[in-house]
Amino acid sequence: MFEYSKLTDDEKIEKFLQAIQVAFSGMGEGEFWPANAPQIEASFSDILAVSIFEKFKGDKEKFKKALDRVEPEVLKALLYLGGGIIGLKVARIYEDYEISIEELKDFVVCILDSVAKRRKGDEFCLGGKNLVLSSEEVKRLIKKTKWPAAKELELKKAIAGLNVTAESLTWAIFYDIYRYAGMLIHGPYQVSRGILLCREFPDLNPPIWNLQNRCPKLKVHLIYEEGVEIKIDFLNHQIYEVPIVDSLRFYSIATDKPLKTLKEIGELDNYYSRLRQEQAERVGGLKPLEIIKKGAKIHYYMLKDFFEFYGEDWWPPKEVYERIGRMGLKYWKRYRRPRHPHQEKGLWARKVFDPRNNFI
Amino acid sequence: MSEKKVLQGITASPGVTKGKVKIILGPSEVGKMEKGDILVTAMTNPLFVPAMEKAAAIVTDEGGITCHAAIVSRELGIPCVVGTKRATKVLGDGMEIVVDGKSGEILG
Repeated sequence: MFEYSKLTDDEKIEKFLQAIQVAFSGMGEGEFWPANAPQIEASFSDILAVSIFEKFKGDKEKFKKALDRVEPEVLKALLYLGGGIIGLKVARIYEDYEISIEELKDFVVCILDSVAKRRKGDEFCLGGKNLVLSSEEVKRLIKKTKWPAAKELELKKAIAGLNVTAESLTWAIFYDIYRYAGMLIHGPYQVSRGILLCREFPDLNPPIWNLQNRCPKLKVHLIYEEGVEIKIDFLNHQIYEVPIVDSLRFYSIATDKPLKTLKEIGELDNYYSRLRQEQAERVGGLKPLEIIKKGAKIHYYMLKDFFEFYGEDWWPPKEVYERIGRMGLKYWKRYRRPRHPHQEKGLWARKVFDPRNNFI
Repeated sequence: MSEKKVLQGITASPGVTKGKVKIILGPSEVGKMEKGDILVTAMTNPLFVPAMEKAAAIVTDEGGITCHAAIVSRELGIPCVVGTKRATKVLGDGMEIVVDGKSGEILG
């Protein structure tokens, strides 16, 4: 174990890279839906990354305040998406943008610090936890919430089904690679009745699509029986060693109102299923260039609160669309297949996301 | 049936189940899936969810322990083996197989 505040900058980066290596190894080989990150981001990553970095360079204290407005999972994602480390390396290597190794390192540490101060331990999820709440906050949550018992298997399965549907809807809205814009999994927390795992979907109706989702927010807080092993990695993936459906003991599910009965849960699942199907078909029907443009919008939208802190519009600037138009499908074809076999993916990620080298 | 190991993949969701293979190569084929079939595909995405909900187990060519298929199958509590590289080529519709989500073995 370590104390974040006592780590040196290099130690923070090493822990970050360790977390990245673990999480990327878990993803295995394969294509992302509807596209891999570089297929979408290679046309504009440097533009976005430089626009963020310039703010860091201009006024670090203001930058820190802006970061603190952004959900930590989005900040983590920024580090391994185009708008972060990779975009800045691209700008340095291909666009002659001046950014030293030291500056990039400071930039990364500044983002890690913003994440760490809003986590209550296990900041890099290396212990398998994503601790958003302190033990006091967990106690308050337990006390103020009503926790119906999940007794029947049918109800437990319906709740698991709602989890699958909500998560798949998030992927359909934000693509696989930007799903952190629409969901947050935190915990596991030890509570008196068992193990608490929180799934939250704060934004299932972004202005990127015309979804008209009448239930844009969902919280699914579940207490499982003692001994259930749940891990969460740095990329906010949940991993269970054994199936946990039947281990559910208590639940609290809410949109703008609590959902308690099997009927209410089933109705929301059906509603989200329909939205997921429509949205996934909408995305599946897009042409590659449209997928790239929408991807750029989603990436910028993730940083909405950051840009708005500076009084700026969050939509991608004209320059991004011009670049996408100019590059066409050059990167779409180049990055269609993953470049690294499963066994090497974690090591590759560790190298490419290290701000202290020029490897991309 | 004398069962031999026909494939090895990455364990994604534990449990052992036996069933008939249904190869789904794209979202347009999702309707082929019947309850209790074993879904075999290259990789899943949100368009596959209706098929995944009917599946007794899931086997994919690609992916790791945190891919879409792995996360969904763990949530649904059904066995899943991912990253077999060639399940869609080696297996065929209607084949009876055993999916061992703990060892990552596909027996047939």
